[in-house]
Amino acid sequence: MTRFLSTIASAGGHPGPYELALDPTRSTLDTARLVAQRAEAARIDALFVPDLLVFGAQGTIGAQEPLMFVAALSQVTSKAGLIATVSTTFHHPFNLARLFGTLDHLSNGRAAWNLVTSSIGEQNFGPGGLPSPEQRYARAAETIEVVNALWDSWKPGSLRLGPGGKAVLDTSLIKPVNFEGEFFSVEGPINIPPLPQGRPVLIQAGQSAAGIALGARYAEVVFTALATLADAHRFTSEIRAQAGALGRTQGPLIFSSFHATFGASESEAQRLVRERREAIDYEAGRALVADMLGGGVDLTEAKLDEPLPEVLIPDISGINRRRGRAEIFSRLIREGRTLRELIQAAQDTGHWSVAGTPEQLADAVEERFRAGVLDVLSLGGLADDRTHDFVVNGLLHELRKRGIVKDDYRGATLRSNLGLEEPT
Amino acid sequence: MSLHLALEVDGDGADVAALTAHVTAAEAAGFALVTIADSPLPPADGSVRIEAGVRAAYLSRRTTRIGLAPTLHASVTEPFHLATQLASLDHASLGRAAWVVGAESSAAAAATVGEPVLTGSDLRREIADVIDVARQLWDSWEDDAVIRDRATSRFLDPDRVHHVNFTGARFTVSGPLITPRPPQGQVVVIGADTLGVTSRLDIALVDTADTAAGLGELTERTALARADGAALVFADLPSADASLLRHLDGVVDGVRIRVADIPLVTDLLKTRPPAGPTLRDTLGLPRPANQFAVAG
Repeated sequence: MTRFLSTIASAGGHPGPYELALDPTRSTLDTARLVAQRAEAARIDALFVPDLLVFGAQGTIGAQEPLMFVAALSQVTSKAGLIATVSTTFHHPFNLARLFGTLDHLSNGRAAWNLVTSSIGEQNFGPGGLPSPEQRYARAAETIEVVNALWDSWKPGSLRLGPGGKAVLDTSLIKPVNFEGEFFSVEGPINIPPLPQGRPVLIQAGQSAAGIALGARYAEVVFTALATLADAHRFTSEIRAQAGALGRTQGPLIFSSFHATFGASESEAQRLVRERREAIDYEAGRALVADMLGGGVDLTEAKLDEPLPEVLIPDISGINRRRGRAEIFSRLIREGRTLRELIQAAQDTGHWSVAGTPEQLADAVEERFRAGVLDVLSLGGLADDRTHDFVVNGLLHELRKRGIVKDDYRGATLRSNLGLEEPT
Repeated sequence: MSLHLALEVDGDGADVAALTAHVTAAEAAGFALVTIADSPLPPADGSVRIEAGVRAAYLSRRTTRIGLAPTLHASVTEPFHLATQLASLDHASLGRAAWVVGAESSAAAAATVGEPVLTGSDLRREIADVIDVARQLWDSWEDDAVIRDRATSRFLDPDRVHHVNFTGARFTVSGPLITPRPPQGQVVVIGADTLGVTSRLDIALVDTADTAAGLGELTERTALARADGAALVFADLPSADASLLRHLDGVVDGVRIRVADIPLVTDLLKTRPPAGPTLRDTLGLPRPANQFAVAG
């Protein structure tokens, strides 16, 4: 089968829509509806919503509960996949299996779960504190085992169409799961019928060593922040090697963030980047970089235009939150970057950031796609009229002209549109 | 006739087209709200169902006037998720969300999430805690917290967003909610009078048997529920007939019936006033003041 680049659009929660959120004539849902309709018209494969467990995380424009939000968006879409980001740290797998199973039913097979382990949120799910990364990833792995067992607990043929089109249930084909693990004890079976996709598409985010190990074992798609082509090569070969060692024939698809700055000319794009850099509050940026490094360092006295000393590189094993980010920023220090450069990188939190004309951005995308280190591209900015025009009529048009992005949806389910295998 | 009408619409399994048909028909007929039953356990009759909250979100823009009341079980759901889901349903439906407080507490239900079985006063306390924290979280953003001030590029006024710092018997929540205050201020909270939390309900549901003794008991329990502070009392009727409905008019504020009984009420519905735009408007419930708002 010809390999294509898939596309996923952010439907809300990204810092980008902050300016739009200031528009009193638009509600969050109105903006998301507009994005959903524009995404589907542009044949973008799926819509993505983040999970914000704490007020103030990633901006303070307010956020909706992701499963309810994408279920509401299912009404204004009929082709695009619906990706809800949900943490395994603060949910029980039985409830998660019911929620995502319901989403897959009512969207006719368009549901996907972006699995995160959360580095924040414990204050709203007390009284326990935030478990260590090791515990969070162990719980995530066990959660996946439980939800998969629950979704598989109705064997083929358990629900058949009987005389007069009435559904007939054969309860002898519905089996308990009897799961006993470190975190959960779940008898099952689940009380919802087999899902249109068998299982929702499993996407996973998290680039720490534990995150890569989890993704290599279970994820069908991994969401990544890979700032450079070298980062993308390193990550892709690592996770594919681990997946291959586990006997997986189809390694996870690489889904990369992409912070695009569009210009009608290269100089316009560069001017926009320059203006954004000039607007950075470098004093506030010191705290931001300290946070990226795990929060345990003090940068208030460090010189802006000198490389940071390696002594500031934190002991990763002592960091409880966002280890992957700390690893990225530690590497930047080792590469001799200045504090100013780190503060600039922190504005994009280590994401892949490219500025240029739509053709130049297409070149950057094509380079990674042809190198085999990019399978799914994240697209933002559809709510904004200017960016929407650049993304759809510029970048996507160019990528289609080059035969990289397919012209239309391939099938009815998200799984078929991403070219993923059916679960067995 | 002055009764509000609610319709229980669970029963279509995973067939969301059938569900949508029932709900849009109820809306066209003038029902105030639909309730959507749920349980972590399979229905006793061996049929199937899917989760109620996500079903309600799916209906949020396929309807325009009818209230949407999924059952979420306080006993098996994280309170913060529950409060956020209902707030999001209220935003998605532009102010038509309600919550039927579920308290599934059998050993089998508790086992689905590995929680201990709660009974008696422990169960009542847990339900009360979940309702209380949900109501506090819905108020954790004041109505005017969102200022959308373009001049200063400020979306909200942080002084008008509050921690709730809730400590219940079995959980704690700091808050605030991630979601702005629901359009109705507070989602309409519905629950059985037998839960023991009537003072916390907007609508108390009183079940009844269609017998003379049953009606006597209903009248008594309705008076008790009103005395406990329930704003409205609905009779919950597993089966209905026209004479029963006429009898209840003036005793209770509304009735909840099943799909099979819709033909009985279509004549009565012709006198209902138009609904909306919010469920609170339809029910004549005031939009509550925010418990965190400071005067001035």
